[in-house]
Amino acid sequence: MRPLHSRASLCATLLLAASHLGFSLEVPQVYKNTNLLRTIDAAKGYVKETIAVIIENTSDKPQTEYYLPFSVPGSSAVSYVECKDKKEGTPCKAEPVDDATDYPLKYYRITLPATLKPKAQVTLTISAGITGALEPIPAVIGQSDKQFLSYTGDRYAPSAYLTEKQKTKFRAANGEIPDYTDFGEKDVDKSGYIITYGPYDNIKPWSSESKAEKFTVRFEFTLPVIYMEKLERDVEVSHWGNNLAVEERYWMTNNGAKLKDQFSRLAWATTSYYNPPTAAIKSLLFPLRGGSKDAYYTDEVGNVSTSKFRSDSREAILDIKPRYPIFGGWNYSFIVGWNNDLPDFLRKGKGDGYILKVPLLQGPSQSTTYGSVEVKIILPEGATDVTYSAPFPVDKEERLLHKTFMDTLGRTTIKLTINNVVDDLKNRDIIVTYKYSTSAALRKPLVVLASVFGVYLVSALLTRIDLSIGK
Amino acid sequence: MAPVKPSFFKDPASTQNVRAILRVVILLTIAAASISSRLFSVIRFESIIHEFDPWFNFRASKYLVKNGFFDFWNWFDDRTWYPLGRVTGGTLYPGLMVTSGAIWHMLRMISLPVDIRNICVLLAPGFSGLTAFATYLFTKEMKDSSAGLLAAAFMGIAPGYISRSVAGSYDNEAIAIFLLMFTFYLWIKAAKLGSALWGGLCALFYFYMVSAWGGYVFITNLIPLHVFVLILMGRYSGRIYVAYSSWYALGTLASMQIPFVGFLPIRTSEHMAALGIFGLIQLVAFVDYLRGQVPSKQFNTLLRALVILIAIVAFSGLVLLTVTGVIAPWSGRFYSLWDTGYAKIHIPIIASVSEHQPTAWPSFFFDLNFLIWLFPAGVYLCFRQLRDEHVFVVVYSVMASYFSGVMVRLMLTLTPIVCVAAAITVSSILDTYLEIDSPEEPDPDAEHKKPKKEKVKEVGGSPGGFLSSKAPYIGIYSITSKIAVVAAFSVYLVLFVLHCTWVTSNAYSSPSVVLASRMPDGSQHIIDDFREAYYWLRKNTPYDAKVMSWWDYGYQIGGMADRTTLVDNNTWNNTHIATVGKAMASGEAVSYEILRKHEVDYVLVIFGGLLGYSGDDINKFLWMVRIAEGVWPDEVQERKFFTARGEYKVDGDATDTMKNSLMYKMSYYNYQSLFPPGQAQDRVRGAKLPAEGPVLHTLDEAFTSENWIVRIYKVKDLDAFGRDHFSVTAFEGGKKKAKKGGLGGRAAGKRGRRVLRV
Repeated sequence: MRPLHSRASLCATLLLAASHLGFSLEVPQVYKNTNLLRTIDAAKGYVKETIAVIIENTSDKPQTEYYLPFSVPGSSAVSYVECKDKKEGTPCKAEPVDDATDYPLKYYRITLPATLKPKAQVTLTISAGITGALEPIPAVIGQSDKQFLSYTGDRYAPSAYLTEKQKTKFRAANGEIPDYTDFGEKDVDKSGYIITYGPYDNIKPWSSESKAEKFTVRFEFTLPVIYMEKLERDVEVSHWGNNLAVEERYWMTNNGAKLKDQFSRLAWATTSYYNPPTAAIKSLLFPLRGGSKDAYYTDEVGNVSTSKFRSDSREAILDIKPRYPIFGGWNYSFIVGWNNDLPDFLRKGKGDGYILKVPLLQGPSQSTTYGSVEVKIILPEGATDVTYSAPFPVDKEERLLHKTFMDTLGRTTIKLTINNVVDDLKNRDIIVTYKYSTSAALRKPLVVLASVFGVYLVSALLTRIDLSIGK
Repeated sequence: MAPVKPSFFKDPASTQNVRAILRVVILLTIAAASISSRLFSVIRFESIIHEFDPWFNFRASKYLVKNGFFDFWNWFDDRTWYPLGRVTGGTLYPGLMVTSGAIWHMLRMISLPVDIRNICVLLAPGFSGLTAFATYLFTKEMKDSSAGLLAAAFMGIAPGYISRSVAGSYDNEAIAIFLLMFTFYLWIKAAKLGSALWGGLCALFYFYMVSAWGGYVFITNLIPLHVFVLILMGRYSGRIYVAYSSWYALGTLASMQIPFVGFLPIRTSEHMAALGIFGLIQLVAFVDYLRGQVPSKQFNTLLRALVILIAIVAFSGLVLLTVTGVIAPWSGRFYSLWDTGYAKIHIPIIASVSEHQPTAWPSFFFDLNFLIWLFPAGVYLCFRQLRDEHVFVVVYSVMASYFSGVMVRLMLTLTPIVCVAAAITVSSILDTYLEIDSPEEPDPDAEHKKPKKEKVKEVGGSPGGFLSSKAPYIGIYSITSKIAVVAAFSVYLVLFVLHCTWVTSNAYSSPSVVLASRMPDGSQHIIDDFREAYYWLRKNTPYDAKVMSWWDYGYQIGGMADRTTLVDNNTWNNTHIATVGKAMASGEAVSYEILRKHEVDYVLVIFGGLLGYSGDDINKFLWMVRIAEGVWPDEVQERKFFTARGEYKVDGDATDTMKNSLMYKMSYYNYQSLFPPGQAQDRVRGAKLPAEGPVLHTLDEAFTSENWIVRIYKVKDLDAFGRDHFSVTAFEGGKKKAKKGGLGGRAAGKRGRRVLRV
């Protein structure tokens, strides 16, 4: 009796633990995936996963929410998830499910664009950016060696539902693929730089008991793996100057294969004549909006002279070359900035209202991932009723006052922090609306006028006071 | 630049306001001109701190604004002079940093958050405007405001001063010359008026000067000298007594508040003159007082004897104190002011600095242009009037002329007085020749037209009148000669402006951190190797990495790379510098031990061979050798670095000691591979290098900048198998050869063994 009892309690404890660890998320089995095509694109320094799936409501009730897990083992993390109805093109909402400790899966709850009736089907296209999933192997290479990245993923696309038919396509950056997993079942096909796994039929929903089968692809990556540990971006609106000033401060690391031994200038100088592909960051190209002007490129020790800036009304390009080539594991930090005419970004709304539309994230044209991005939108002093709508979810929002150039109160500022960003999200506009009255605009000139006048008055009075003791 | 001449107007009083406004406008224009002429480097390059010492001042300023004044005051810097550290707060002149810190806070207060770097860069030009103003005030006391305006203009653009105050040259001199001139002005004012208020103000600015520059000793000695000369001339007066006593008492007490100065004013010989004169003037005052009370000639003689006795006793007491060591004897730097060869023999570290070399004669003309030949004339004009303040100009001229001849750097202290004297000359000439009305035949009218004349007469009436003052007034009759002289001087003035602009633009506006060159298409190309390498150090080495380099680059590494250094430009510890010199000059076995003992992670050398940059380490190498030899004469010998024929060579003929020295190896490591075999060329020394380059055993090349100017080496860790690095290199070299040979293991093994034996 006794041992049995204890066994039962042990089971209960285990179950309790399991429910905490494994099965915190209970996904109702109301769909099946009729057909699923997963494309894993590793052409950039991070992974872009696109899932095209036909789902069918197998329950007898209309459904609106669909769950989709992404596999994020190790240090990898989901940067963003976007979803749309493939036929209609209508976007649908995708949000992370909190505290899904179903490691290594990260669940997303997708709200379907329209309620799905029983037995009805809809085709969704879900794309996600996943950072940290590519690992350089070998981790250390010589200065002029080739760099290889390796991706390890699930053989079967993880899904919360039964998948009738599925296929996975892996798109490497390059046709040079020395290793890839072959399961020996004639399910692998390599053509050019694409490796296809599948098709597979009737794959059961993912569960922690079933042993996950993994495939690994190792491919050549001729570009540096650019990672911005931190980006601080200031967008400053000046009504008086009719100017929109942008300054971006970057802390950059090359996350590719680390440099073996030490850097040899000799080898670098002799090879750079014929410009071979290299895993070092040699230059960065910032495509800017047309009409950008006064661009600058500096770092902590001053101006860097190796930059080119070309601008006309259609487009502008800031081409910068870091002080030294940045090899794997090396760091660099720099500041770029430029000005734009304000009317290109600002529209007058009703009354004192203004509507500002600026890109939330710009950045180099090379594929880039960001650890954290802090965007400060600095509105004029005295701007009130600030609202914004961001093009993608923001992790943290702060309101503060930024005091500069003869401000008395400080400028109204919103600071948005976004973690783990990939450059797919760049050049999307944030819309900020605010109210800015004429009296607020006149504040600064009046204050300056008054204080200068005050100084004159005081000095005029002081000169008239006779402090001498005797005559 | 036409100073206002009262003679244009019938009634000077009615135009007083106009002239005042005109003066203000002219002074503002001069200030603007002096500021803008110093901005060449900012416009050509960028807002950057120049050269070496300014980088430390900049770093200290950053520390001050970041950590506040009290932390700055107590700053112990463990990132320099590793492993000794430096009590930075107590061993610097804080005036400069506190000034820019105060400006920074003030601008912040009115919501102008200017970067501290920009304040530091623009501080020197800003203060040059103030210097021009101070010179105006000073010269106005000597002659009149038109001479003052001329002096201000000269001071604003004289290359001798610009050389130390261009934008970015953030050094103590940036504010010190203003303080020097302003303190002198206040002293003249105090001596003229006999006012304790002016004396106190003078002491206040003297305190500011002490806090800003070691050159304050110049004031400490010049003012007593002025007083001494006045006493000798029999011009003692109550005014001088009040001015000197208030200045000395307050100024000395105030100066002792600076930790770096501390008790020096009562303990070192440099300050003894001021103390002695202070004592003397008390005696003289006492005697003077007694003379007023007791009008007996015999008594006066007795008193005079008494004074002489006391003076002798005091002097011998001073000598005694010096001998017993209570008062420190003259420092080495001071000796080198009297004997230009002294430093080279006894303190090579001072002699190794180019700005401590004796001045070459052309540089007087280069730095002062036509002012230098007007200077004696100005001094002569001072002799003609010789009021108390003119004695000051004469004393100052004599002293500064001597010192500027001894040390290039002290050209700076000569420049102000040259500007003042030259302005007096030019102003006198213009006064005479710009008189539109030709004088009548000698009659009382001519006397009347020159109010200055009367003043001269007054002075002439005082004891010690001079011949010159009795000379009859001679006016200029001919219009032609007036035009000729005025035109000639206008040409000189224009040439002066052109010369100043040219010199400033070409000689004094290079930041030396950044080098400019031209691309084939004529566009400017910036050679930025220093910052490239320093920034690499800053970003890619651990924060506590220790970098060894010659002391010249210590401040720059601290400022730009933010890494710990062994030695820097604050050359306070000669032994430590000699240790670095020894590490550079010795073979790898000796050096490696020194490097390990000092926990050095990286070694940085400057190599100009590829680009033809002549200020590199191989050219400075002999100084390292000399300084090391001074401490370890048995281990490092300068002679061994010269060939049998006494030549300093780096090519195939170089001595073995030279070729085996760490410096040589680091400079030329891998360099020959840039060239076709046997063609390696050192462009600085014009030498053809041996085909076989040096082999490094204990260091790894870590980074070399784009033009090879900066080369950084990483010190190897101890070998994992406990071998020494020489056998490791030999072993690996042998293995490589075996692989290349690809023949039987036997032959390769033989070859490997042979290498090992070597």
